[in-house]
Amino acid sequence: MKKRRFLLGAVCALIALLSFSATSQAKGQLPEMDYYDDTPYVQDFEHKLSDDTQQELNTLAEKLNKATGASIVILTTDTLNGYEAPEYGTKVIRKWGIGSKQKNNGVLIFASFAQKKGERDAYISVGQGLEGALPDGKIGRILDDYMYPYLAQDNYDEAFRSVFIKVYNEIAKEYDWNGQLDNPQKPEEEEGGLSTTTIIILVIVGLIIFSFFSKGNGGGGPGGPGGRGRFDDSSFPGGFGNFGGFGNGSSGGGSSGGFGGFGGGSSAGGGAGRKW
Amino acid sequence: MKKLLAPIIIIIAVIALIAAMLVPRYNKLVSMDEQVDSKYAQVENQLQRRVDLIPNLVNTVKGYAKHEESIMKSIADSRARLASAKTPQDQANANDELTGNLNRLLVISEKYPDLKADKNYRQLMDELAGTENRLAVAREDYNEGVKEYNGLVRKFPGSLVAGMFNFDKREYFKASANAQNAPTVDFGDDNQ
Repeated sequence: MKKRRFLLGAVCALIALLSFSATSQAKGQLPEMDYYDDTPYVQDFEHKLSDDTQQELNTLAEKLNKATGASIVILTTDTLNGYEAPEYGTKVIRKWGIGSKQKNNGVLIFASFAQKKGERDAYISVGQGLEGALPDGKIGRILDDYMYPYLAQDNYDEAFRSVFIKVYNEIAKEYDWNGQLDNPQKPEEEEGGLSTTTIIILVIVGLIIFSFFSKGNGGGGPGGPGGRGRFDDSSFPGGFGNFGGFGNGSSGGGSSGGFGGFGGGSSAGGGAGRKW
Repeated sequence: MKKLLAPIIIIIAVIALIAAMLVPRYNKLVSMDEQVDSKYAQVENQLQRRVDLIPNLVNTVKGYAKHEESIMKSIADSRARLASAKTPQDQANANDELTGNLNRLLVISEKYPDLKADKNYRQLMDELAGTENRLAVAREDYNEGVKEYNGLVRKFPGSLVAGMFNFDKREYFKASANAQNAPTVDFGDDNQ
């Protein structure tokens, strides 16, 4: 009897030791995707984006996914938990399965916010299916032109929105899809930032685009049970046939109305970005 | 005659049993071997891409920093070594050396604001950093494949099959500790 108890204790100790060593050698946690987010394509954990921008970009991302099968996901996070940005992006794409499993056409646009300015990361990772449309050099240029200037002004809505639309248009071009949007305005070079007229024009254009795409979507309030799994085709003028689901991956994951998940895409490590 | 029959049947049965045990192992080893090969091809693709990018970089930098000949020469040398390396170990070493030299170039380029602002240079450095990360990913995938494959080759009964058909252990693609991280390209100034 005593012997058995000792054995049990030893086994427990061993398991504890093993699990401890396993966790202590890991670099840090990767974020879990929030399947119950109203805007599954915009995982704004740091609450840096306005509700309107989240809705707008999510609607666009859904539309792009329907038309081309590619996915653009936005992520804001406090830290990268000890990862270098390129590794972090690749791992999150693989973990969340962004893009379709056959084409690996996912894009992740992410930024960290916990550190002080100059030590934060802003980075775009792509699956290998889109490396042709978005080679690292081009991504770097898009970020230089459209993201960092806005980030420096703390204009997060415009930073993510501009970069999102640039990436969106590149993907549309790659798949010969005519749903391209107007290119975003390049921010002005000077520290002074945007003139009031440009802001007004941008706001108006944004409102027009937003109202155009959100028409009939009922504001996209939190869906009831089974709500976000599929949605009404009538929300998009012109219609795109039946909603085909997100790639071939895990569909209908949650039973109580969460997002079905992305298509199981992977990444071979493409992307670019710097500190900001 | 009857006395012989029983042992013969037993022997045949034993042989059939062993064969039934070994054939799936053999097939598994073959397919794993192929997988490791294809993963290694990914590593080599990325190495090749780095090799291809370097001449452009050297030319761009020369336009701005004529006096930095020694670093340009080291980069060209390590590129040549990487291009001619054959074994995973040689390739890993040459690649580390190249990464080290590129990092030195990054530090040197701090002295040349025009170079840092050059679109071509920024693009090439982005491509090189991206290649480095792709390489890290391909290397990790390859090493995981090798680990699984080597485990199969060394454990019974795989080891028996491996011994019979000459499946050798595969070599890991090991980077030295200081070359684990992709070079961070920081153009800083214009974002502050």
